[in-house]
Amino acid sequence: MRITNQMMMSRYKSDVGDAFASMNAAMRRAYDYRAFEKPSENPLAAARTFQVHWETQLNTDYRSNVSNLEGANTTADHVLQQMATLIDTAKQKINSVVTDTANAENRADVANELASIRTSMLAELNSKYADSYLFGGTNAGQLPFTLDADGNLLYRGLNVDTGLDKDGNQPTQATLEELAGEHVYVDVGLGIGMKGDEVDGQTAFDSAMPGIRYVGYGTNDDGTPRNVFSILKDIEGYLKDDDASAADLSQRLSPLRDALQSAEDEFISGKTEIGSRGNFLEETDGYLEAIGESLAEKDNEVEYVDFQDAITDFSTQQYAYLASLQVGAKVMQTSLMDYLR
Amino acid sequence: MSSTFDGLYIARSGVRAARANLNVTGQNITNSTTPGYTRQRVDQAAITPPSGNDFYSGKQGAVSGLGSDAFATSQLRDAFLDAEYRIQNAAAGGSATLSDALSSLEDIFSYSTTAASSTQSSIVDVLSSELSNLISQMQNLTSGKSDASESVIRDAADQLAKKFNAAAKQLETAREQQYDDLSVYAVPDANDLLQSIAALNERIKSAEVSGGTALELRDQRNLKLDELSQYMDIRVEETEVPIGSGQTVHELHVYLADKDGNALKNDGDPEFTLVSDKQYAQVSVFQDADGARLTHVRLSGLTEDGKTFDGSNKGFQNADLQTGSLSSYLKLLNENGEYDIDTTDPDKQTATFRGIGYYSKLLDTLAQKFAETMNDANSTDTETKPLFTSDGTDTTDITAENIRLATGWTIGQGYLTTSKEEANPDDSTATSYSNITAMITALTSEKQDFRTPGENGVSIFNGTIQKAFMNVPTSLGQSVSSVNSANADDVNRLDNIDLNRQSISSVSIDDEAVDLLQFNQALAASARFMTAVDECLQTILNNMGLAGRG
Repeated sequence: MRITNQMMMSRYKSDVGDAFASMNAAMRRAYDYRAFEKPSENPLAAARTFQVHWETQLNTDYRSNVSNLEGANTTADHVLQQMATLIDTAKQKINSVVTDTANAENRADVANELASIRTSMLAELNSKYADSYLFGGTNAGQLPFTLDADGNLLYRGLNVDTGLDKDGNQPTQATLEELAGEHVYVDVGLGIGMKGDEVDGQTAFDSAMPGIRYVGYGTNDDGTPRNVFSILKDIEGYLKDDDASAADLSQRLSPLRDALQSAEDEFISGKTEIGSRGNFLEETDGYLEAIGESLAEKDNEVEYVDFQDAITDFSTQQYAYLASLQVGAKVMQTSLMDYLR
Repeated sequence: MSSTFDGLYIARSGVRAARANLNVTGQNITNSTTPGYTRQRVDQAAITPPSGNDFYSGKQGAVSGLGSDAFATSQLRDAFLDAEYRIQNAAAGGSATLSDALSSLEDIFSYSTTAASSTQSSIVDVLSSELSNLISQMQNLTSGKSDASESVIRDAADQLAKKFNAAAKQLETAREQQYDDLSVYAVPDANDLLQSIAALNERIKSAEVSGGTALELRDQRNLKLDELSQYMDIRVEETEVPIGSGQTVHELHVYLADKDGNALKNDGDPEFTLVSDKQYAQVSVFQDADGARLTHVRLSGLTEDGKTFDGSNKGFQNADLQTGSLSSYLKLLNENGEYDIDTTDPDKQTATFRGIGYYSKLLDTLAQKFAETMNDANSTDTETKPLFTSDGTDTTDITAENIRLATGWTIGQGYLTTSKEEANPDDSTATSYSNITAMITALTSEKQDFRTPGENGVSIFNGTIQKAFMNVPTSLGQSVSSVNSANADDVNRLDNIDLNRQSISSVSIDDEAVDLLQFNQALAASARFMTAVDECLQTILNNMGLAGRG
């Protein structure tokens, strides 16, 4: 092929241009380490990067969820511990007066102490965490436990013993049993899915802590309440009865003390459940942290280049560019004209 | 028998030929860097001796020719390579236009930034990251984070809607930009070229009529033809036309061609003539405007009086342009990929090019699907409570450009349906976030079918809303990547053809230097020959017959 100056010039220009462009790209990589600037430079890597970014954000959300839930759960655990102490104290007080030696004055004192224990219990059951009532079940925005005019405990407007509303009617939407069985599902990265219109309970964390699930609700067959607060209130009533003999009192209190024992057993089992939720959350957090690390690693692989590669590549490209300039300086100047006299 | 002074004539022809060659060499050297210049050479032939009739003149004996005749100057150019170059130039011009335009769209959907929490810059996928932010705020609410609230979610939703609006506007701006490029730069430039070529035709022809060759004008015209070929496929033909007394001149015709460089034909004749001798067609731009929105652009080529050369007023239409920059502009402005499919129309069964309109319509589809999903999730069996609308209340005809929060949501708290469970009368403020979790699930886990509008729409994407959002920058990136590499291939091929062309047509200083030596020596030799003939005549005239004289 006949080669002319113009051909050499235009080829040389485009080659030097290419070398400069390559050097420029390598230089850019040597300071930002990015494998690509725009999706078009590497569509596959871009798609993977976007997906990794998305998963990383989800992971951050899940960890934030788990951290919030852990806070609430730990607080709930503390509250229930307080409650356990209160129940234990109440039991000791009651034991101390169910004796022949206890007189009416002693009983009245214990009755007063039980009243104050109930007040403390009410306060504990209405504890809040981050502006939400811990034991409100699905309703974390409204005070869950209240008292009616007669001092009976209401849970979300329903009498915890009878299950009736303030007007003495059956509730229209949810019974106590249903309220006690409520769920609040939170996505903690277990691959949340739906069953029809509802969240599939297997795929999410249930953060609901309806208070009556722990302190009991309804009555036994013999009519004694199953709720700790109500049991104490009833016991309190008997203790205030000055006329009852020690034997009478012991007999009257017997079913209530049995009920209190069962209620305490229920309570302890509920408290244990909260404890195991805490363990689950801790494990989940560890798992999410590991996923987060592997996502960061993956991002590093697809979105960035190795530091060493970037620097080496830049040096190579710079060398190639300088070499092409030198060659040009040598080749371009000479022609036969330079040798003719 | 040769005449006495033949030798002098022969010597003179040699000097003349050498000087002609030296001049052409000089012309070549001085134009070695002139764009479009074609290397010239002197057409030179030996002059044959006059033939006599032996019967009358007797035997001629040893005769020589009468020297050398430098009878013309011509160009070293290959018409086949010119045609190849122009076919490839149309392809390269077309892919360059697509590459430039689509690359400029990429920044609408993704950009690199350095987050405050990081030292490294990272690529951000605009729509997905807003969706991701919205989902984070919803997650926070479900897990009871202290600063989570409906208004934070609403702000995030508003941001997402605004990102849709902004992307739609930017696409519209990109579209207008392409229309400007077409109507203000490309078409007027192509029209100027058509006019210049016709003007050069006239000048070349008149030079030829008066016996000239007009090689330099031909170079100029070839350069213009090369430039014209980036806009459309052209076929260039030259015909010889007699002008009487046995003389002919050349006339040049340019026809609209297909992508292989063959003129588009109608009944065996070229259908669309762009230039015919001194006549030329002009390209016009027409647009169908729907309000302020540019919907369709048409191009048509007619002569100045609005007629084609055969007198009809049928100019070429969009579909007649196969490759080249003009055809690419039309693709970018008029074609909408899968959105142009109409399953009921046998002519519209396949997707067209994914022009700017495709991305606008894709955004509309995403905005609609997203709004529909969120609106359904927020509405209950008894109450319709849309979160996203087209004008504050209306949920029909939502597009990326008009999507906005429902007025009901912007003015109050408690509009977001956090739970669809029924509560007892005294328990009315139920704050379970089960419905928020359902919304998150609908956005991230439920696979949906994204289809082009209408009953006969076709599926364009199947997956979650999140994946569909992410698909926009990725599929655009894929398109840009493929047009970029097509353009790189086209340019590479064009360069190779151009190198082949230059190999024949461009000036080599070394060649010319050798020619300089050679013709200089030829001239010196002819001059020396003239001296020899002169001496020879001197001997014959002055010294012959003096032998023996004292």
